[in-house]
Amino acid sequence: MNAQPLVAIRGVVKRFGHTEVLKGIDLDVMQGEVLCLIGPSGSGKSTLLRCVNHLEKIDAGYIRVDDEYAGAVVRNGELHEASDAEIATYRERVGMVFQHFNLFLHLTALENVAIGLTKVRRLPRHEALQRARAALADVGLEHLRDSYPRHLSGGQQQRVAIARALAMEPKLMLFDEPTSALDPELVGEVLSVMRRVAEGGMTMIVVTHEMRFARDVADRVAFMDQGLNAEVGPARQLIDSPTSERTRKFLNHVG
Amino acid sequence: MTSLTAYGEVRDPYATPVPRRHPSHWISGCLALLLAAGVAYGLATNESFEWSVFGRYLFSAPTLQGLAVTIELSLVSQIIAVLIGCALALLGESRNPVFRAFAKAYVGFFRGVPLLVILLICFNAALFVPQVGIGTYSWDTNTLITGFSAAIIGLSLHEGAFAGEIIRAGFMSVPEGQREAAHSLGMKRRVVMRVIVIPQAIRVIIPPTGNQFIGLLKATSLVSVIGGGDLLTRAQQVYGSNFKVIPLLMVVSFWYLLIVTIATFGQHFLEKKYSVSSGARAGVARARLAEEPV
Ligand SMILES: Nc1ncnc2c1ncn2[C@@H]1O[C@H](COP(=O)(O)OP(=O)(O)OP(=O)(O)O)[C@@H](O)[C@H]1O
Ligand SMILES: [Mg+2]
Repeated sequence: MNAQPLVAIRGVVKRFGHTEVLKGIDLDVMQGEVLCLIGPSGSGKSTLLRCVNHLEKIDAGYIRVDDEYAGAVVRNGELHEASDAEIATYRERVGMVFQHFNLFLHLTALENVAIGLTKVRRLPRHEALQRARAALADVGLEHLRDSYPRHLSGGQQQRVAIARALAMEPKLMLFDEPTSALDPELVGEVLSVMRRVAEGGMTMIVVTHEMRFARDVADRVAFMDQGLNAEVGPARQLIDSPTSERTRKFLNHVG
Repeated sequence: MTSLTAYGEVRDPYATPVPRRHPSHWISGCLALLLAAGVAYGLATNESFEWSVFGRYLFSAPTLQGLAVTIELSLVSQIIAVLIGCALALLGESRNPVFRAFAKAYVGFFRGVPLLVILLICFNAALFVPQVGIGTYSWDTNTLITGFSAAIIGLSLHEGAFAGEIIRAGFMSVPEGQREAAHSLGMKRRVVMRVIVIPQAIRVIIPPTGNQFIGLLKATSLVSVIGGGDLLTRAQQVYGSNFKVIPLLMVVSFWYLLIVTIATFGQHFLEKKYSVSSGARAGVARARLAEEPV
């Protein structure tokens, strides 16, 4: 019954120069679970997500997703620093959605979604395009497939970015404040797409300041403070009746 | 009909306002015409210009051969310079600190030393490298280094440093977030470079490269100090024997002006073609039309 977690984050330390940004994070995420990371600015939420995707190299501890380690591979029962190819393979199955969308500006919406399928998964072009079209349809944007990112609204761009990540069929999706750069009236469309992804059974780690989303969609919420995982609990319980004073203060502030 | 407003009486407020006059434009225009006429008169009547000599040498064999060499030097050096520049930009992006240091040192050296000095060093390479060889083959540097080959080497090495900077700036113009997004899809560094960075950087690289080429067309005249055989070298050889200095320099100026003007047109064309605002404009209309709620 007590299955092994899909994501295991253990004792993760990250330093930038002399400042320790992550001071030993422990966190598990089960298969199909949605975990929201909340916490004040500078507490290390983005850094933790970037470590999970190995966009940052961790200084101590480990991060395991399914049977693969971030930035390391198992050889003869030991962890060895991963090669570029091994890191790329690891990232294939960890999707990431960024605050500023980071779409490829020289490619259309459809090409943005298809490029990972052709250049990484090496699918034949027609099959990649077909899948990309389906992925765009899933976020309600099939009609805009030939538009370039600069002609899309922020909400549309973020939905393309979600489709781009989902098309790779990841085991885990990471979202770093996906609605923070959006005009208020565009937040809803992105959150509703994320809600559907969650309902589809995707395992997700979401950094967000949207407390209603966290409360309604997340299974658990982790409150990060000064590089530490200060409090973790079931979403409603943590948001409605936090145990620590620090969490309560933060929630009063944002709520 | 007259209408009365708080600001006074206006016969027809809907009429286009009477245009402003610009007398200063007319005055300066007349002065410029006068000046141009004066210069033209001076050029035509000043004995030392010897326009008949100009006409005789404009299409003479040495002039045209020199012109061909100038164009050849520019094209070949520009192509090699871009190759060197690509290599430097890639080395500069490398994670290997030795490669990065090399790229930095190269650019630092060739940006800091004047082209004229570099040409002289290349021309006199035999003084410090008497022999060059690959494996068991070896040659006397003196037989390899002619005015022309030294010119190609010097120009390419020097322009390569600037091409490297242009290309590096092009790479850096692609936002870091896009590279991260590409990496997060599982693309390897080489693929990210090929499918994400370079296609976007090219728009930023082309216009300054066009500028660089125009600069290079003129900079090739420096190779006359090492007998590079270019347009200026040939003209100097001719006026060295017949002393028609000014007419021959006018011939040289004429050809430089012509090729630079042609290159400038080419440059404008490329700039238009690669400008960020063009292309995909149809997308806007389509995106707007197709806009519908989720
Ligand atoms: N590349 C970097 N170099 C140096 N310091 C960094 C770097 N990235 C992040 N930091 C520092 O690490 C700390 C944590 O940053 P992080 O972006 O993870 O915070 P966050 O919780 O995501 O905050 P926010 O809510 O503002 O996004 C901050 O103090 C930040 O200045
Ligand atoms: Mg952040």
